Amino acid sequence: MDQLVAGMVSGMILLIIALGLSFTFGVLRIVNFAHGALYMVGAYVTWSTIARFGIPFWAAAILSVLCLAALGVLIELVLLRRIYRAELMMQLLLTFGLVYILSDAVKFIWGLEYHSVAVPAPLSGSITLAGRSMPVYSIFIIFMGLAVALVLWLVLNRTRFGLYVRALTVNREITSALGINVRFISTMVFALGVGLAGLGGALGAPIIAVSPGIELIIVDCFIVVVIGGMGSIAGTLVASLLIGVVTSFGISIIPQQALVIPYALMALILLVRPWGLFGRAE
Amino acid sequence: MGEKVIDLRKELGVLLRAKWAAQIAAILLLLLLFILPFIVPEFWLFLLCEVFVLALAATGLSLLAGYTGLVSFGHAAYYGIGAYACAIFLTHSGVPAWLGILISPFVALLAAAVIGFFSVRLTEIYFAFLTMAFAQMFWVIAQKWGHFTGGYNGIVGIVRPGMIRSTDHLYWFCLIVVAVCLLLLVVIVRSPFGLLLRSLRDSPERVRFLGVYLHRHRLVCFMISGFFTGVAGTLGTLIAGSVFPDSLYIWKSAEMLISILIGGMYVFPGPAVGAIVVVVVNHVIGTFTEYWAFWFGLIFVLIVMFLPRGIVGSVWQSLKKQEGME
Amino acid sequence: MATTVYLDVRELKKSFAGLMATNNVSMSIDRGEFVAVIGPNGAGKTTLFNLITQFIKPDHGAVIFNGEDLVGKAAEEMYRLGIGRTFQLTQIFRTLTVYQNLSASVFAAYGKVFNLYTPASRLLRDKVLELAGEVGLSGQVEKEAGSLSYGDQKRLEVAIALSNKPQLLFLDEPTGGLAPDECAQIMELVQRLSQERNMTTVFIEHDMTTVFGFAQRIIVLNFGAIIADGKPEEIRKNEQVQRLYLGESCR
Repeated sequence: MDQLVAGMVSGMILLIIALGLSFTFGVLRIVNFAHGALYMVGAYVTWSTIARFGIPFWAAAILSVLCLAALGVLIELVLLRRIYRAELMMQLLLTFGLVYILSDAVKFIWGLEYHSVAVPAPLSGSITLAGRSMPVYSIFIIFMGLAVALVLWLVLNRTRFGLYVRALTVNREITSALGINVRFISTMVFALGVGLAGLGGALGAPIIAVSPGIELIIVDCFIVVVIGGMGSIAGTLVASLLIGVVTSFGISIIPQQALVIPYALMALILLVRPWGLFGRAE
Repeated sequence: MGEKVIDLRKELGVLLRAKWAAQIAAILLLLLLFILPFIVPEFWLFLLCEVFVLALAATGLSLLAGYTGLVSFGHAAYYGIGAYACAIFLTHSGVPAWLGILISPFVALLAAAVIGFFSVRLTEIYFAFLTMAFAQMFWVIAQKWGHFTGGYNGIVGIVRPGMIRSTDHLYWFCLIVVAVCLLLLVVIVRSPFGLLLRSLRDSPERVRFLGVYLHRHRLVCFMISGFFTGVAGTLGTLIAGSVFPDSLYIWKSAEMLISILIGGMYVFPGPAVGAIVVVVVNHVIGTFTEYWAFWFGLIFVLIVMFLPRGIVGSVWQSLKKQEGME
Repeated sequence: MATTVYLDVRELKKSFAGLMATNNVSMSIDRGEFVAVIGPNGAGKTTLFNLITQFIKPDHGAVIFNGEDLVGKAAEEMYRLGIGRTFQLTQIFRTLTVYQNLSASVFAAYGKVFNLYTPASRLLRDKVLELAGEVGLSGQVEKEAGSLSYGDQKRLEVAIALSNKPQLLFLDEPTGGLAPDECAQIMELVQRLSQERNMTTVFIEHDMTTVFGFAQRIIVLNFGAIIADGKPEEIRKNEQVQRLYLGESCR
């Protein structure tokens, strides 16, 4: 049971981050290799603003999201605009270059040590649920993950912005011809995706260490997005939980081989149903 | 109709001259490289060995990625398997050293055959992800199969066979092996098989109606590509005297792809030139600052943005424009 | 003249998601015929070609060519059996030169596709240049295929389709997008080659001038079914066909 909760928690953090990646791909057709590095920046921003200025956790989290969104706008304007029409591999590798830049920038600014963020006071401690003692923060994360997925769904399907985004996904040219500012929307989409990475970084900070190397979460994001289906919220949700829980159980049962499982699942999906559990064949 | 066949090869001023110039330059370069051990200090020889190895790995990958259009994101697998096979043969097993070195790339070839069989059915992004997934699996296995692969710590203290123990000899060995392999790759690229690969990339439909089974060609290409990258991995172990799981990780795959993009994906010397840039830039920057990744990433991003065809690719493109072909 | 049925299409059916794209099509074509397949957009002409050449598998029916049933064979086998085709959107190798396009086809025809060592620029050179000469592209062999004029690209595609000296040739809109004089040029080329080699040619066409100018026989398709099949004069008088068409000109 503990593993189930732990798996769900790590799954939810992964969900928040992966949603950003999936969303960006679904709409802009850009696979952002630097998404993990951006998550890392979010975690560091959260930690350093708390450590240096003593602001409360929720403020640091909001700041992280805003900073990352701003960074996303910058990246989109300077870099991505130029390569929308380039080959897929060009995009992938360009964003890969960003990984190098961002991860070293983080090391330069904040050093190489491990840091940690304390669980915010109102959410610390544990409560008893179904006869077992569970950390409050874990429950909070699970709730947040579902909330983020729901809010994203609502934005996409119930707001005008979401309508424009869906139109853009289907046909960029026609949407533009209808007078909708496609460029602005693209920038906003990317900023939103990156903002989610920042949110994941902030919320994950009390659980996952804040240190160099956490940008490698991008690989897990890829696994999630492939298994769930790119551009699908439901798919990302299911896949994140799946990966989180399976890995959690796996590590306790067969610690040596457990890490192969996510990759094996990814390979299996690609061989059997490449567009993912909830994706659409193109 | 009976039009007169004009032999345009005589009239191909710029392009043909460029090709000849490149071939002559390559021969001169080879001669220069041969005599370098008599001129430069040992450190340079090791650096050049690194360049040779990455150049071969990247060129091997470009057969699959550039000429056939299948961009593998997990080519580190064949590099790493070649590297580990060599390491294991030279340490654990009772196999004679030179036999082990010779067999290692074939182990990589075998892996490429298996992975390729499954992967070539997919295209584009799915192909990239599947090859990445397989490479990651190998990476995990290398870390966990400690008994065989040395686990996280890899295998160290590998001693080279006597004939190539000295740096000079090692250098010449690498130079010869890489030169021969690149020559073989040139022959393959210029062969009918190579031409069909490019045709396959441009129009899979048309190629099917020429009676060509796509998967067969792609698989053969995958295997050849994996083999040569495996050779590079084997050399890598001999040079470093060690091997670590890193050789199988994404960064290694990325390094090859970055070399290809910097130098040029669709011209033969591209990946090799890119490899030179990658190794030299990293070492040069590395001497000034520990944050070499930042500058490397920056340079890479700038090159890709402003020279999307890569260094050699852009030169070739402007030559073609002069010729009026584009 | 003995008329052995050369291509016998029997009861071909194909539906996509409930929509019947090809509805019980049967036709018999003799050796050496020059046949046009016409019909409004969406009538299923290209689908018919795809079904015959096994690019798509039919739901039902048989395609007997030279005594063999093509249904169930791989599309890749068509080439060896002596069937050639062109596509509506020219499928040529854009980044390769004309020479390379043609030599790739020649290598395929002569079974050299797995040759890993011979320099491609020298192998079977005379055959490649011969092929270029057949379609009038001899003067442009070193040009990049993507930079050719549209008419020349079409010629290149015809050349590639002819590389295996096919006995049966399918052309999908060979004059699509061409100016009137280019239309005539390419059709004259194909007609001449057909006559010289006694090659059976079936072509999809929208331009009525071309159709009535070159076809010996016309098959009319609508909603996936044949509504008329006969000589041009008969088709011209056919009321159903007249209703279908208000007379189109080249583009």
